[in-house]
Amino acid sequence: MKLSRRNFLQWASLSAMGAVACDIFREGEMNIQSPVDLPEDLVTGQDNWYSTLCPQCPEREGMIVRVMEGRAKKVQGNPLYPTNRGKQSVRCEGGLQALYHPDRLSKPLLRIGSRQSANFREIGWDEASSRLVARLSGLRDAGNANAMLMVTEPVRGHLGLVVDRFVGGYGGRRIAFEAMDQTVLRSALKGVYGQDTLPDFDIENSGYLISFGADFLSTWVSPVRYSRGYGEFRGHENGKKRGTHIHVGSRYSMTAANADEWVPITPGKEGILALSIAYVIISEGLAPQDVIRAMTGGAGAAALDQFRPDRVVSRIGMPESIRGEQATDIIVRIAREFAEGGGGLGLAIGGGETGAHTNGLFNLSAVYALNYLVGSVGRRPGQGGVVFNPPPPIDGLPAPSPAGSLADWSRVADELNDGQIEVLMVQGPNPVHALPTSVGFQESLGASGAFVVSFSSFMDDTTQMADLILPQRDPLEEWGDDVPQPGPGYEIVGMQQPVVNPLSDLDPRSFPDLLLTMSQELGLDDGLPNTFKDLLRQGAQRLFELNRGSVEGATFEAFWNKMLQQGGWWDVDRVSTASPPSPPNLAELARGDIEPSFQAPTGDNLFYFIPFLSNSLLDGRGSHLPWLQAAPDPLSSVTWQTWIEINSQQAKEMGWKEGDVVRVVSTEANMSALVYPHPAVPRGLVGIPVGQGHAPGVEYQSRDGSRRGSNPMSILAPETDRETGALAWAATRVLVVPTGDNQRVSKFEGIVPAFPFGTKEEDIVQVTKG
Amino acid sequence: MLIKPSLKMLPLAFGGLIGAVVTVMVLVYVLTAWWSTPIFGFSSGGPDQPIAFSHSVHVQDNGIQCEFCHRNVSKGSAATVPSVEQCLFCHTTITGEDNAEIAKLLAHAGLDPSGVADPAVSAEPIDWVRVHRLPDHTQFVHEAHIQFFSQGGGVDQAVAKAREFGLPLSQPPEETELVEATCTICHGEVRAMEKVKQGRTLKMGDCVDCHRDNNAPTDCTTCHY
Repeated sequence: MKLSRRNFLQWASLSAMGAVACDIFREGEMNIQSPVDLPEDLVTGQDNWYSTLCPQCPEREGMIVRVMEGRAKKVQGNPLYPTNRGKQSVRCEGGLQALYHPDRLSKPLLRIGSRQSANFREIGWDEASSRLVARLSGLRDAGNANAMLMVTEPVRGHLGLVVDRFVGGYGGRRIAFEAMDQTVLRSALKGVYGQDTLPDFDIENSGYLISFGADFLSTWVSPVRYSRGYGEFRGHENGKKRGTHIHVGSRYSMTAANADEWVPITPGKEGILALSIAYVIISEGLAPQDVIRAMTGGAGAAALDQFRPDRVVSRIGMPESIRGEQATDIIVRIAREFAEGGGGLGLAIGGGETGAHTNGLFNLSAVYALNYLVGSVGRRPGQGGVVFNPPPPIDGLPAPSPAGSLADWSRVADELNDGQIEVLMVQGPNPVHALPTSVGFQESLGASGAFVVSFSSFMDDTTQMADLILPQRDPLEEWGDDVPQPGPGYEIVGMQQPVVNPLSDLDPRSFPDLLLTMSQELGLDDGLPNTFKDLLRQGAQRLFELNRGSVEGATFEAFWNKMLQQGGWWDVDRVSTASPPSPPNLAELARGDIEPSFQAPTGDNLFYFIPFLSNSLLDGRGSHLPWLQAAPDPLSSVTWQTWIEINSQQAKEMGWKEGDVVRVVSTEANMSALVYPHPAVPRGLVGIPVGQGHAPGVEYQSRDGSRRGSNPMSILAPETDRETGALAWAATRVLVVPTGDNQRVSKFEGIVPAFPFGTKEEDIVQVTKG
Repeated sequence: MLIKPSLKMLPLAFGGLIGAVVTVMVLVYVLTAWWSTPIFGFSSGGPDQPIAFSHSVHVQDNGIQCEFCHRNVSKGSAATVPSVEQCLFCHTTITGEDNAEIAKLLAHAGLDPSGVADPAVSAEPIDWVRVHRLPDHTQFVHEAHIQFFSQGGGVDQAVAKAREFGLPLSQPPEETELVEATCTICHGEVRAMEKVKQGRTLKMGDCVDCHRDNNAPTDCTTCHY
């Protein structure tokens, strides 16, 4: 059809009429819709940020929590808090999930049936507390109050005071538990520096750092504080020279991966290398003469002759050469650079696996003694080196109770068997999971007739063996305070306040309030107020009366509010007045047996075995939180599973590939894990993360009624540090036996293999040996 | 060619005259409607809605603030109408046994008039008839305007508007009161309306006048982007 003007106009008007007739313009255009459900992004109200303390790690960082409409939404580091200064760990952020966890226990539970059956029924709080009080008063009336044992973490601040007074007033006993405890570290620091509290390591203001074993950038002692300091240590701000970091240790940890140089040695030989470094400094006169005299008893380098670099190289299993440099030259160079301080001050720190051997105390004492040679002991904050912490500003706060040693726990297991413990109260730790099988704690508890009470919000390995479970408030719903260990080098009290109320279908109670109430019901004279909040306010009143520090307020109420707002109180001018004691005599330190010993099964494929704390789950306390389960390990990027790190070359020789299921066999027990070959793991050594392998109880830490992953703590041999009796968790050797199964490793890392770059000469695989 | 006038042409001329008058009237209406307020048909009572929602009952009688329902008004571009779920914050308690309009609302949530789930009724969104509409080539952000009149340089105007309509006003005015006053600047006294109708033309001239009076930018790209 020819398109004429007439045709065009006809078609155009027809189309227009059709459009109008068919109502095409009305569809939606002139309507506005109310959806049935409220869109999630349309939230009303304003957010509030409250400061409090993070409960996830022992270091207890200061944090701020974003709260909207009564719900906690986000956790961040508190920028004012002196230790972490606005930084936070993945564990802090993940801790939020505990608040709204579907498996959180809502009411007190009473066991029905046998201890192994884990069957419970819900009871009311009145019944629960009257049952417990009746038990306790019955025990006391029978003159047997000593048969009550309270197990907590090494609690600090006013919570420590409440627990102390309750247990003391009742006449019972208490013991603290830490999975990988700091007993050896504390003993070493006490012996070498004369300090009861952990000192602050001022990494940011030091120039040259040697870390022995301590994975301080991931999980060791106060990792957020150290990581923040490390960031400044490595930076160039204010014309500062970039600090140099040497890591000595047997396992390729996150800290080793970040160091300028990693010196891999045989496990347990760190102390010998430290003394070899001391030998070089002393023999070359790089330290002040009076210090050298004090540390060698006047004998000079001759006192340490057995630690001459060329004599220790093969003894400590150091590679003959690394990147073309002879091992002896490396020791001499590190010693010279350390003494020179890299443009600042030298600092040596040690811990982790270094202290977890049968010679752990020797290792750590030797490491910390190095700081005397370079004058970094007892410095003021901001000057680098080791900064002593002052005592807490509030009198009467008990020092953190030291964690019980392996021997203590064996005794507890025996007493449970013998019926010497009749009431066992557990708050915080999970000893059934974290104690080696060889202690026999689980069996003793299972067979024991004791009345076991667990103050826990979740079903864990210990809780599900309890007779009575009293759900606690989440730390975000709870009052508290803390004197950080280690502190920032000056006086500090951190404050924890409830930022949200428990959800309406939950009925948890505050642990300290329960103790205070029970104290009254039992008629104990603890001299404390009725609620924990009142006790904290009493403590704050004393800080107010000091009339100094970071919090100003004309009245106590103003002071209290400001203190909660800031997240605590601190006074940067109140530093430790303790002067360093006279340095230890290195020759005496090296007297006796300084070699590590291991317990090893017989067979081929024998490996050194280094369990390490998971970066996200820690000792397993985060394993019920899916965010933390899904947070990849910084080195392997593995999530949700238990893997075994093994040298990739060695795995190839054995014919093992990634995902092969192997059994790891010690003299005590065995466990399974998935092979994860890695080129930087030294030959003859395997590492397995701690944190998985829980008894079924919470969905995310077990699946299909079975355990998720395995627990390396369970297979440890009962080796202890010779001096302190603490568990030497790196002193077990294991056999690795393939099972023939293979599972896919759930990791973030791509499938393209990663190669260490550099020439063949520099290849890190080539330089390591067992 | 010249056409001689004759009586026969009279109907044609008359028709032409009527045609011309109608054309002019249509043109005048279209042009006034385009540039400003149309000369008739504007001040009607507003369209009928699927549910006879009364702002006067909710705002005037029960003191609910604008932002409670129009949640996004001080946060984003669109004020947004509330979801059915949000109506049920109150209307699971204020049920529809005696009120057919509330019963309609509950039906949209899949509930019977007493507020109990009714399997025979499926939850459906409510399609309101739109009262205020800007052309697609014009962008309008509620949040910026609310902020200017409730916190910025336009507070005096908002206060004056509140006085004009007798809105509640504390001394000094609270922010929520100023937000409501700000709404009335463009939307009129919605708090007293049984049926919502347009309060201002919302034509470009209207916008530009107000922008000029308040030293707000009048660049094309302020609204046309």
